[in-house]
Amino acid sequence: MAVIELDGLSKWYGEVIGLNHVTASVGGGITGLVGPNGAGKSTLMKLATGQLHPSAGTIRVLGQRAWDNPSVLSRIGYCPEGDVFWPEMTGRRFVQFLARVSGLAGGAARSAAREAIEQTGMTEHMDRPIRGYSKGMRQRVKIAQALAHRPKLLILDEPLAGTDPVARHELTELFRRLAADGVDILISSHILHEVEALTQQMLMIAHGRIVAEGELHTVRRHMQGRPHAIRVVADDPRRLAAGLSQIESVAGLRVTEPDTLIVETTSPEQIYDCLGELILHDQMKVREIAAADAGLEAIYGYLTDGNALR
Amino acid sequence: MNSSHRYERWPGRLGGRRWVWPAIVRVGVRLASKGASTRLILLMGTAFVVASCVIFYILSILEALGSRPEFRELYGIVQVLLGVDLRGLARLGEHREALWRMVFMMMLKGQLACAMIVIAQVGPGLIANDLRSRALPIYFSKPLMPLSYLLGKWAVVAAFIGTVTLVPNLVSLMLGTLMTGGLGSWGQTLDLAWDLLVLDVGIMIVGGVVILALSAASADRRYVTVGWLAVCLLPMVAQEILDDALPSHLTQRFLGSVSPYRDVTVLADWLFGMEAAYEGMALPSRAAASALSHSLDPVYPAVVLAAVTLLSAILCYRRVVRMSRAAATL
Repeated sequence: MAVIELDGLSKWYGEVIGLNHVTASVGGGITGLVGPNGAGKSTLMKLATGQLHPSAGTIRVLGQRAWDNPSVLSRIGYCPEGDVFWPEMTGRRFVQFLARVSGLAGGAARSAAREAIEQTGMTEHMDRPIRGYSKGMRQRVKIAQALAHRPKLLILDEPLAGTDPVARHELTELFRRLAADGVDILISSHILHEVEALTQQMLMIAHGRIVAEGELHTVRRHMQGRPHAIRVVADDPRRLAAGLSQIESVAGLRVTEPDTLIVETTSPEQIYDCLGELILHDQMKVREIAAADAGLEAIYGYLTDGNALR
Repeated sequence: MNSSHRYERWPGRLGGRRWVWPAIVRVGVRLASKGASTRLILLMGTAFVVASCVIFYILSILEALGSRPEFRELYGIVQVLLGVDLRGLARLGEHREALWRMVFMMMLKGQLACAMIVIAQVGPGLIANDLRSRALPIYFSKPLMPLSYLLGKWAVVAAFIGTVTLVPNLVSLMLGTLMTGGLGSWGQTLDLAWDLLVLDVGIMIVGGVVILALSAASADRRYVTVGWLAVCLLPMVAQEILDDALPSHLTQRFLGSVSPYRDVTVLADWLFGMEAAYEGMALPSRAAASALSHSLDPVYPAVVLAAVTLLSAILCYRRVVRMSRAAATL
């Protein structure tokens, strides 16, 4: 069952279009919402959390409309992008207060806040005022407030922004654990590899439109026939380039470092075969062959170049 | 980060939005109570209780003494020697309620000044701080409606106003009743308790709603404080100037009250039935007129205060809804 369903959803702010006739669905587990700044990620999330009313179309979250619907909001945990703190409050009070606003009674809110703080690794700092927190600690306490009332769906807007590598790893592990425990997560980021490390399920957005949705490898498969880049690390990349230049599918050759050659091709398989022959027959020493653009960054760059895959 | 907690969805029912606002009140009161100056002002509430209790105690002693025969003879001597009629003291118990109304009316002026300062301390940051910290999106991503949010914020400032008005008044009334006639005389002062309740809740509503409207108008609490002081003080100054510059029949009949402070005292005069209280005690007409310095028709102040409150409530609600949407678009 789809957790979030968008049907012809549009949102505009005066003459500025936030989302433009978007039809898509977000399934269970972790889904990455990827796009550059201003693409419409936050607008979509705010529509899903009932903060904005759609200009046209519908959005259904957990099977219900999101706008003006407290019963669905109590089943959503939302972590906004920016700082939303009362600096003089302690982390514990902040989470506890928002747990109560989410509908938990006093005692339950206290224990739920404590558990959420523990899950995000903030137990040690929970009784300090938030004004003394680092950026990473602030992110964690924001995630704790989203978790406290134990929602079915977590909507996290750039939750890893500003966190150090250790915190990023820990939070990534937390998201995986939550997903394994049955929480559905929609996570946005403009740093593509962050999301790629978490999930293969993507919703790619640009200029208010969904440009691709589904499994990352499916998106990648749709790109057959489009130029791919292959990175070859060899002792003599120039000689290797001379050998590859005869192949019809090669669109470009670049020596980027003394031992590295980037091959741009419309048929990667043909290049891999040819490289094998060159290694065997011409005695070329090749230390590494890797797809240079298999990552989300390259796919995203391709998709936003006017090519939508649905 | 090793957590022993496995994630489980909340097994019970959530409380829903009905009881969300008390959470806002608790946090708001806790945060506002941290200021030393706010605590100092709240001590004034205790001062009002002490002051009124001392007066009630003196009155109760006079009541007890005045009813003794030997003192009645003394009144006659005093009248002959000094020309002062103290015979009314013998009937002090009959005028207890009227006297207490005068005491509360006297207290009201101090309490109003105190409430203005408390509101200036507590109120400006209530919504302004949320606007500054962009907290509205997080509030409204929860099952919280703007009306509940505003109710919670209003209750914070109302709690502080109540601490310098309603609470001291009711405590004083209770202690005064116990000191004079015990629980048996409670019935005598029941009307007064009701009047105090109506008046002080009215002050909470008007003061609370106006400061919320101002607080919602800016993200900087300093501007809100200046706005509040302007709302309180400028009309008072204007009223004084009008009173001095124009004939009283003009200010009383046509211009009415300009100052909210004056509006409240006029309404309190009417609510407490001060005119009847003075008449009942057979005070000299000049003294009564002086005491009733603001003998305005209560309709005009009531309409002004109701209109200001209603307008503030509408502006405040619209602003919060608009700002929550605006914050969401950021």
